[in-house]
Amino acid sequence: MADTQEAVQNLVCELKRGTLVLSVLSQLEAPQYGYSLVQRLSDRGLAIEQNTLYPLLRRLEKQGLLESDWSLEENRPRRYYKLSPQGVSVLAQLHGEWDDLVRVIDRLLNEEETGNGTD
Amino acid sequence: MELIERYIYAVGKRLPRKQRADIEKELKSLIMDELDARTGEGKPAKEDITAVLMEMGPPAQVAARYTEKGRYLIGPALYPTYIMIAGIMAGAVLLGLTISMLVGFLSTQPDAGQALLQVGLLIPRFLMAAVTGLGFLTIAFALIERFMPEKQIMSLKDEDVWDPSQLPQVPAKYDEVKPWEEILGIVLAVAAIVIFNAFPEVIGIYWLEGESTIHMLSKEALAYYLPFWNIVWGLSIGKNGLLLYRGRWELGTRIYDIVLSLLNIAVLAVMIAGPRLLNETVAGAIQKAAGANIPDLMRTALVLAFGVAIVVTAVETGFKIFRLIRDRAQAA
Repeated sequence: MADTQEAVQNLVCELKRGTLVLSVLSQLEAPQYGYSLVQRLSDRGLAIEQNTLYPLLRRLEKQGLLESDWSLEENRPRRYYKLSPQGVSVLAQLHGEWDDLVRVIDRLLNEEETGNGTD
Repeated sequence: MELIERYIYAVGKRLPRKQRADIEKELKSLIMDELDARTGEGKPAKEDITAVLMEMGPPAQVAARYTEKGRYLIGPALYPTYIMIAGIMAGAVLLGLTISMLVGFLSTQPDAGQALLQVGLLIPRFLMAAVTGLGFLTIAFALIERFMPEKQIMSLKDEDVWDPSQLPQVPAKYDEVKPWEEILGIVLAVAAIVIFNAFPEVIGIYWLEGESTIHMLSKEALAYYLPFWNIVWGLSIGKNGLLLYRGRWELGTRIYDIVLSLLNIAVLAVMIAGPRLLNETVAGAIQKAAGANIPDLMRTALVLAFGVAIVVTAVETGFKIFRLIRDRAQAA
């Protein structure tokens, strides 16, 4: 039983990891700084560890999907990230891919529920 | 607050220097934000700081996530090449040490005990030389890993352009090459070339006559045969090298091997017909001492030995040819 639980945990982790970039990009049409992004994602039901998110933001910036700027507010420097023009177009394409994927997976799973291969 | 500085320092020292300052600055602002969220505007208690840092994760882990492609001394793209060259280098070092030891034997003529010691010393010498070589090799590869752009390294692997039909056949059992056999062959042939060309005087049995020792084998005969032997040894090293490089027996190497065997037979035949190997001075002395015609007997024995060698090689060669034809017929 414990083994099954562990296997499920790992698989869920894999699944989430695959959707991470899409989730992050989707929230960065307006600038966000690290902590506000964590909050935003968690408000919408996606709990994400900071030490996963922050390095990811830098990586996406290096890939040219995000732009960042330091700005000083309340006496504290904060780095704000937002989509670059390339990021906007990538997000749109990923969004399309995601919709397709959801449709396909949905079809696969429901086919199984109705007895798999009635046709 | 001091805890935060210590935490950031612990992460920072694990980061590449180029990105360090920037990441440290960002990390600090992130931690401060977390603290604010936890304590509001008030001064944070030590427990709050600890909790926030615990949530961020262990410094090593955080640093690892920031260093994107992983920090390798020698990355996965270069690793197979590195291992291959290291193996070749180890073989070459062993070969070089063995040859220099054999040459040493010939010039110093050690007794059995000393010789054994030298052979024993081969192990630490090999280790020392191999470690030194491996060190330089590693430095060279680490420099490539560090300074060559990632894309260029990936193109070294050449894995994008491939074609399943270009993959080599799985070698049949009898087509497999055992590398150590070929390496041994090379070592022996090199040793033979070195000994016979550079130190011919040490070969063979000695005949004691009064104070001086006389060589039992005729110098003239050795000089006469040496070019033939050199050709055979040279070609045999070529064969070993080719097999090592190709990793399997192929039609070309099979034919090469058969030609080499035929050449062997020819050289043996020349040795039967050509100048006598037995030193005439020694032969005279033996005859005088023994009274009987022992030298003639010895000559006959030598001729017989060469004859047997010819027959054995011929049978072996016949078998090789037969198998080659059979395999070709099966493959067709």
